[in-house]
Amino acid sequence: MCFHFTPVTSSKTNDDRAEPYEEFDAIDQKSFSSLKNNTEFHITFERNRTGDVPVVIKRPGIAADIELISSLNKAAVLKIRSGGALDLNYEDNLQNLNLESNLPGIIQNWDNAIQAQLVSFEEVKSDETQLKNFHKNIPFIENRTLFLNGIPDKEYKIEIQELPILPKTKADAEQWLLKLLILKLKENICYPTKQHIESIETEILEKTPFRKKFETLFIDSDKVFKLIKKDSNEIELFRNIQTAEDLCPDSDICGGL
Amino acid sequence: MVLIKARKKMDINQITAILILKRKEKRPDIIYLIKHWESMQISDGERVNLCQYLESLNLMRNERITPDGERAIKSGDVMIPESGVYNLFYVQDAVFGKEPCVFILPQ
Repeated sequence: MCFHFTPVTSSKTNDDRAEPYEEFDAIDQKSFSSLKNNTEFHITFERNRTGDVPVVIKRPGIAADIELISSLNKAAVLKIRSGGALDLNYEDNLQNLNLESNLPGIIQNWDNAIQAQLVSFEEVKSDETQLKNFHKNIPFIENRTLFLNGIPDKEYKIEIQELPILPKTKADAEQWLLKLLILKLKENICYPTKQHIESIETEILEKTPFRKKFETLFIDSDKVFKLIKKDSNEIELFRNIQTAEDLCPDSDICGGL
Repeated sequence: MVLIKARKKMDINQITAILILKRKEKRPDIIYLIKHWESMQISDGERVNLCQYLESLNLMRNERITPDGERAIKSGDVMIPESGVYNLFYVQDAVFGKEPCVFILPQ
């Protein structure tokens, strides 16, 4: 059976005492609430003759794994696992712990105002999932210091899922938008007109977070046409747009041919 | 929605100590005693013994209910002492704030 006490309020400061346990019972009749089963306890040590230091035998420490899981708008979850004499498998919610506030120290180019990492198009262009979803997973960051309850805590290994990302510069944003536009146009084999391209672009801009950072972002359809023409990988798409343009220059119908 | 997982290894400190441990428990039998103390049909000897026990729990003093006793009646909880040798485990880590977190196991 294992009981968990809340932190002890002591009369000495941390710096004054040789060992933390010296003050576990410093305040007479102080009870501690178990976070696990809400049961209260009070402990009193057998002390030495002067009454200062508890009579204890120090044992070797026990290795344990600590894990913190934090997601937006939810209490962080604390898990402690340890074998040996303790055989501990503890889990608790920590309402006041906020790991998101550590993101600026963990993530390069983190924009705290818009709560996203700023990345270049080059970094994400080969990953269609990242391009479409505007977030990425970071499987492993080693040896990072987190600030927990205002105190630095070293040597954490961090894993991040669904980290929000946005283009770093306007040029990156245009390339990213163009790529999404091309992917959308290629989903349906058709002969898209310039009007149709613009409506798809507007839809993309409405459904994605581009405008959190680039409020006036828009590529006019002539420029889209030129960019697709320049891209040697998109010859078929270019041909389809060109066909629509040549045959129905004033049409806004897609797939009408 | 961003999900952050942070893991590390740490040491849990361990000491063995002689402790008096008071544990809060639901004790309707003791609550019944202090609530019905005046009307209880018991001998003088029993009354003295029971009164000593309730005083040791800080629930009565001079055959009157103490503030702790009043609180116990309201909540139904009584701090029951036990003593012995215990293994005490504690963690000092920023995750718990500035003060250590304590676990305790009877030896």
